[in-house]
Amino acid sequence: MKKAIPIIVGFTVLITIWQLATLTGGYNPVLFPPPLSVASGLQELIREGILVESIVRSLVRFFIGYILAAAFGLSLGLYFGHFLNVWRFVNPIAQFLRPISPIAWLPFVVLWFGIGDVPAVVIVFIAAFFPILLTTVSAVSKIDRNYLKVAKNFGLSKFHIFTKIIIPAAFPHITTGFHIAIGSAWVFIVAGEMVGAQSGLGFLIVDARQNIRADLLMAAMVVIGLLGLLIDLLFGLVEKHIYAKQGITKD
Amino acid sequence: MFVKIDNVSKTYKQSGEILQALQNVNLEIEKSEFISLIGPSGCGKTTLLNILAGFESVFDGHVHIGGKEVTKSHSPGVTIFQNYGLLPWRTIRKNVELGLEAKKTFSQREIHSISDEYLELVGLTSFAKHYPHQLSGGMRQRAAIASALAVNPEIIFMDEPLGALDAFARMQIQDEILRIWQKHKTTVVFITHDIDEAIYLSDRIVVMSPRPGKIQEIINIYINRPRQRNLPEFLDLRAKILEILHFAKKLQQPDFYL
Repeated sequence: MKKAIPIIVGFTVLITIWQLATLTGGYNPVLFPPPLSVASGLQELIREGILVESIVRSLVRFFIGYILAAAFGLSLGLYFGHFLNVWRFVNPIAQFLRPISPIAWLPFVVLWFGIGDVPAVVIVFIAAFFPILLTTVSAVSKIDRNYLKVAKNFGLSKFHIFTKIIIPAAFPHITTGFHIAIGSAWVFIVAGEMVGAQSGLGFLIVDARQNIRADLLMAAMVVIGLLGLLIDLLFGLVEKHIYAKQGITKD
Repeated sequence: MFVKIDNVSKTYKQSGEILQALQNVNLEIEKSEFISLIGPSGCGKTTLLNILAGFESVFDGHVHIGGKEVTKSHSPGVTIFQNYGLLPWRTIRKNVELGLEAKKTFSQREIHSISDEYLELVGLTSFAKHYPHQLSGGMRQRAAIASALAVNPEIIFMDEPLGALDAFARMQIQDEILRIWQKHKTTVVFITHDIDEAIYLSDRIVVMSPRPGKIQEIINIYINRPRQRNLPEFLDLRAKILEILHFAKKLQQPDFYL
């Protein structure tokens, strides 16, 4: 409850400023819609069932892409983090691919996979993969050497060292990577859906633009932002639970 | 002889300089003996312990424990570290069970009953479900002792295990270590900086000297346990060790009197 207060206060102030700006600024409401017309646009989307359908579509695509990225990024990261000699060769390639925006991949993605659900999934995958891979590698390579000494002390097998020591020791750091990745990947779901898809929140934006409906455009943006906030909060709770278990306090 | 350390030497290279950490160390330890290694930093006591525990594989000479040569992949002992060596993501019970899980010989039920036994031995039964960070330093060290004992090792190495504890917790755990040692008759090699602690616990004290690290003197302690820390024999031993370590202050004659 304590956490809800700053959120509520912050948004109240934001909406008030927004409303005041539209009232006093004399802007064309088609170019800069006031909060109330965005709210009614939102109502319209809910009433017609478009909103829920778009959200579900986007979330499904998003989580397919994210979970795939998590699975690949995590397993490759664990491998490379353990075999740093191999990583020395892979790291430059990863650092070369990482700064290429997922959006730059879009034309190829559409050419290779066609339109539909796949481009959005692939874009999310690309966006989430690199932060997960890189933090997992660094998490594994930086684990406290004392834990490995404990493993040796009790004569743990190589397999047990991996499952009982390395993975849990690296886990808090890895979750940080997952957290960064989930936020940055959510940014790109919209881009993915703006090009390839006929449904979802990104498509809602394209559709609103084509119909010159600034209120619906802004409504879709609000929903995207709110969902991003919600995902971040939920992930934060999971992370906090994990940290609390290990006695790590993190701000 | 249970432990045979035969002419062990060890050199390190540190920024181009060659450091003689150990030079021709010979020591024999009997089964069930409690041995303390004492000496200033740089005397090689931790290096010697690491060699015994199989953490240090490159050295000259030979170490046998129970008739078998100690190598990187084989040491029959378990080490208790100063920083407890507990895994923070495991409960106290799961920490005690770690070494048992590594052995394929136990069923889950057996593991559970063994950890019950050792948690009770160190008085942590009611903290089984706690995580290490929820316990005090003394309790964590008791948990570390339980996890080492649970695998029933033939020999236990302790590297300044009580160094991080306050004086009262220290004395309390010293008594517990003695009680458990007398019950299990495990061989113990114990590193400490604390002369009183060494006298209070050990059958023999190995005093080491630095540069190059070597054994300077071995002192037998014949005082009956439980030992009173203020007995004359106790104080005499302390004075003797201080003198060996060159900490004894001689009364100097002043140059002149006023």
